[in-house]
Amino acid sequence: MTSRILEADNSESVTAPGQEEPGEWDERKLLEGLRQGSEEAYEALIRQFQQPIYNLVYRLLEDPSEAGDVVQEVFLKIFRKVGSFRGDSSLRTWIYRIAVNQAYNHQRWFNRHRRQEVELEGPEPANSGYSHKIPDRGPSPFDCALEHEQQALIEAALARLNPSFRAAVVLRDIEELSYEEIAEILQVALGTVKSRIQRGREALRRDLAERLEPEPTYGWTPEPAQ
Amino acid sequence: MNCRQVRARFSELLDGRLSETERRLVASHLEECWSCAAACEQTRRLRETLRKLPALAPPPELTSALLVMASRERARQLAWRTPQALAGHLADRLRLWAENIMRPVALPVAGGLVSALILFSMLVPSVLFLRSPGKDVPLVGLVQEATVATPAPFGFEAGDFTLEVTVDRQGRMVDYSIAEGHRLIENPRLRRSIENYVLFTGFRPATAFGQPVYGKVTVSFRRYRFDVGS
Ligand SMILES: [Zn+2]
Repeated sequence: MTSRILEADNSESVTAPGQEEPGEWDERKLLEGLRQGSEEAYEALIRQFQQPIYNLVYRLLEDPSEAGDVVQEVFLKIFRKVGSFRGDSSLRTWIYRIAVNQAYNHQRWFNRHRRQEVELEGPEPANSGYSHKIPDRGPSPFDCALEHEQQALIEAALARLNPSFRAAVVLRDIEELSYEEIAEILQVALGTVKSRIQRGREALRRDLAERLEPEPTYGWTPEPAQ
Repeated sequence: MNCRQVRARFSELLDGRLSETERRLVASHLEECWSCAAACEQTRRLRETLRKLPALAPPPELTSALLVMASRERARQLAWRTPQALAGHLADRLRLWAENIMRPVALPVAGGLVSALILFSMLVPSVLFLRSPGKDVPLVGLVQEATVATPAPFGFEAGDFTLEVTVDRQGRMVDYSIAEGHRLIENPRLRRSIENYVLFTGFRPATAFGQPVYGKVTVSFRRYRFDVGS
């Protein structure tokens, strides 16, 4: 089990190799075209970013039915502001940042959650409630669920996640951006990105484990072995 | 490392971001601690499953909306480029306005007065009908005047003057006249600046009984700011 874990991939990279479709425009060409008002560049921008931005916004919004409207606002901002884009970050990062901000603007209650996060990021309570079950090596319901990709279940768990953690996890695990890119998009320190990804994944794991593995009558240890 | 320290590093371990030393420390803990090893394995599989979540397809109408928006924004951007292009853009708008005017109007069955009002303001957009409904027309509450929705994103140097802008049912400027500050008209450059400004200002059309109609909005320019009145 551990050997597989330790073969952790280093696939984290800025351009996510293997994701590029033929005919995809590189950033410099795209930017130049947009600034010159080239019809092809405008269409290429839509072709390349429509789906990832829609997916991101859809998962950040409490009401995904608003995703279409928010995506239109995002593109309008891109079209109007691309002339003043100075290239401090990559075009991709800049576009994702607009999308995240636009999605958050739609959430009136977002600040409330942000306050909650400050509390969540404080010291953990002494008993953090890790579920410690001795693995029996057979496929558990958790394994089956993940293996059969019960997407609906995972999407629902994502939707229950604290919005700040959710944004970090979606950008990392679904959009496959690097920690550094996520820090730029969310305008937070790298350490905060690490913490949000870690806490987000852990919260998701526990949420799914609780739903899939009802409390067993044995095999519990209240505290992690120190 | 204890369990808590190890668990705080799962994500970085899985993302290949730990130093060799830290990775070894975590690994040796995982060899001994089954519960951490199990949690780590679950996290690894969760991460993989998230990566494999199928992308949601944007609705097709979103794509068309974006393409329409792109062509509008491109035209807007290009209109800025050269005076010729701007003139072309203005001419297009005028043509559109003329077409709208000539198009037969489907009148809502809403009573004689309002029908007459809509018809009249359609045919003679320069006649100010909706400006002070309280005085001329007893339709208070049913008639909403045209307003500025979004000011143009730039300004220009000019003295104080007041414009009367005619706004069509789509909220587009179809005509304007300078109500105060007549001397401005004689300066062609300034006149172009004003036209530019008004062209890029978004208006909300006037409405009568909830139906958008032609209307007028008065925009007063004072140095470095402008006021909207009606
Ligand atoms: Zn442990």
